[in-house]
Order: sequence, then structure tokens, then C-alpha cells
Amino acid sequence: MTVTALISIAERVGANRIFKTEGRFHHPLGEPTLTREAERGWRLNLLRAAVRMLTQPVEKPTVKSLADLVGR
Amino acid sequence: MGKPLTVLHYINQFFGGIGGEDKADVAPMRRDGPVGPGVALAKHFGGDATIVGTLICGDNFFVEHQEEAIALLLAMADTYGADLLVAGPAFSSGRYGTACGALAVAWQKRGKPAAVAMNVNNPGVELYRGDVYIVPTGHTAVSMSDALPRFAAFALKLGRGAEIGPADAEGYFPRGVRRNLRLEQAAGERAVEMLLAKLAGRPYRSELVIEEFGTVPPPAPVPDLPRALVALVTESGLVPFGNPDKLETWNASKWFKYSIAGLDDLERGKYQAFHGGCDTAGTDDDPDRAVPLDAARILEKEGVIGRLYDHYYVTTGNMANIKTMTRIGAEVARDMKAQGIQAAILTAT
Repeated sequence: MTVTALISIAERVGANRIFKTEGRFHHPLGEPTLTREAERGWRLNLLRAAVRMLTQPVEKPTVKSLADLVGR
Repeated sequence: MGKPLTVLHYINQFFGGIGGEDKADVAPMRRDGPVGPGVALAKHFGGDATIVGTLICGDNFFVEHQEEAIALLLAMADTYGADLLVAGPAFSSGRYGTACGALAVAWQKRGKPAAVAMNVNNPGVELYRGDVYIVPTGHTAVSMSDALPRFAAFALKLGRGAEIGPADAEGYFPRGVRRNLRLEQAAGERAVEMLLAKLAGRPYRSELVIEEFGTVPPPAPVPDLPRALVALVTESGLVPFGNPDKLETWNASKWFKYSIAGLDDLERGKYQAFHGGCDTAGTDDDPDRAVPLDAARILEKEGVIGRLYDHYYVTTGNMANIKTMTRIGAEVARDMKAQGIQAAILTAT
């Protein structure tokens, strides 16, 4: 699966499980405005959601965000 | 006009008149002069070129013993000392097309030109169009009479060392080569004209045709993630500090894997992102932003994922060549399979 902020590129090249991160395009799991400790928690939260896509069937390039994957 | 070019023609066992599928195992052989489609091809060459010899090989023999087949065929080619190699037309026959392309590439290494002909759906096109001129043909030999005059004309031009223009003007599959040329109209004016044509529904031609990427069948879900071996992969160019293996910052040709065994996060100052086109300072400041080892280790400890593979994979996905990236992707996937990796988390910049 792909973790990226550049969704249209990931779809175009045919990535099938695409997690739309809330991080920046040049470091998809980084958020420098947070404190180090808060950023670690933020990253864990995103990755924990992202890996759920690994167990979900998809038929074509599919984009999911944190909101799509958590609390369902 | 100088003296006629001397041409060598490569065909398979079928067109060589040896036999069909039952003879696909025949080893390379040579015949003096043109054979089969070569006879018609020679007519199209007229007095400008002479087919001095024909090389024939069974399709199965070629693909099953490619190196040996090429070595034998090139040795036979030496007896003729021809100026030019033409191979095919292979139409949609995959083994034949692959053989034509592979032999042409090997021949070109001697500094002599080669031209091949086949159908767009022949796998040989994707494999070899970047390295050799391939003239398009129809699906089957029914289109022989359409293919041969174009094939002959193109081969003659190439053989004479004439300048070969763009693919659509000359009639060959684009090789992925771009050349600079001077136009009267500035880019902005051309772009506006194209846009106006598009809006008005008039035909227009893009100057930059975007390559298609093809589709990748989605892999099945990981059946048991808490037991799966999972790998971290990135195209962010994150490498050990100092870039010991010299990964490129753009147009990468290499991939690497670096050990994360025993590490719980990627320490600042020990890694560096080598990726042109964007600011890498944030990644250098905390490499886990690109390769989330800290978070992945926690998921591993919690049992959300089974085990983290003890290396991460990396290349640089910046201004990349699709063909090269396809190769890198296939090589990394092969390595992952060999390691028993069941899932990958790819952070893409």
C-alpha cells in the first residue's frame, strides 16, 4: 500500500491501496508544527489507520483517509 | 547513389519454411540470399539493397537458449559482413518478436543499424522499442503486403545512415527520445492554439504525449496481518548519512535496502534524504517522517502487524523514467518475495 499526500499521482500510476496522509508531500508522515512527542502520536495514529487498508479488498485504485478508516 | 547496401534478414522457423510449432525447437541456421518474406522484401529494396543472407531460428530455441542463439546467429552473420540487419515482421507472435528485438540489440552493439517490424501488441515492442527501431505492422501475416514496403523504405533510410526524424513522421514506435528543435511560434502561443482547438472541438496534437502506466492488478488482502512479515519501502531517497551507495537525487537507476534491525527509530543525523525537487530539510530533521520506523515498531509490538522486515527499501522517485521505475519495482518485488514479505508500506513523496 502507498502512504502519500500526492493522491492524483498515486492513482495515475496505478497504486491500488492509497492512504491519503495528513502529512506533507515531501514527508508523508511528518508534521513539523507539532512537538516531537505529539508528532510521534500523530504519526502512529495515521499509520495504524493506514495498515487497515492492507486487509481490505480493493478492485481498482482506492483512496482512503484517516476518517474513512477509523471508527467504522 | 552508392553501391547497394548488403542486408541480413532474420526470420523464424515458420517464415523460414522449416515448419510450424512442431519445428519451434530448431537451432539457428543460415541460408544465402532471401527466404520467405525476404523474397518480397528484396523486391521492395529494388536495386538499393541486396539481401545477402537469411538467419533462421526456431522460436522456442531462441527464447529457451537466448544467449546461445544470439551467439550462434551473430557468428553466422559474420560470414556475410552485411551493412544492416532487418528482423521480422513478427506481427503479434510474442516469441518471434522478442527474438527479433533481442537479436537486433545484440547486432547493434557492433555499431551497425538494425530495423525490426511487429504489431503494437507484440510484447517485443515494450521490451525493445527504446533500444531499436520497430516498424508497426498489422496483427497477422495478412498484413504482410502492407508492412513490407514501409519496412523496406525505413530500413533503406536507416541503412544509408540518413537522419531519422520523429517516430510518427518516419513510421516507427516512439523510442522515448526527445530532441530539441527550434520553432517559429513560442510555446505560449502554441499552447493557446491547442487550447482553443480543444475548446472548439477541432483536432489538435499534444507536443508531450503522456505515457500510459498500464494497470496493476490489486493484490489480495493480507489474510493475517498480525502474523505477516511487513516491509517499509520509500521513494523519498532516504539513505544513510553521506549517501554511501550514491543513490541519484533524480532519474534514479538504483534501489537499495538498508538494515533497521534492532532500531526503534531512524535517528536524526544518521540518515539523509537525497531527493531533488523538494525541500528535504524536514525529513533530515526526523527521518521517521519519511520512513515511519518508530510508529511501525509500535504496531509490531502491539501485534497489529506480525513482524517488520529488518531492512527498508529505497529509491528516488523524482523525474523518473517509467521504464527504469518499472524495472526497479519488479526487482524490489522479487526481493520481497524471496524474503517472504507479505505486505509493504510505501511512503511516496
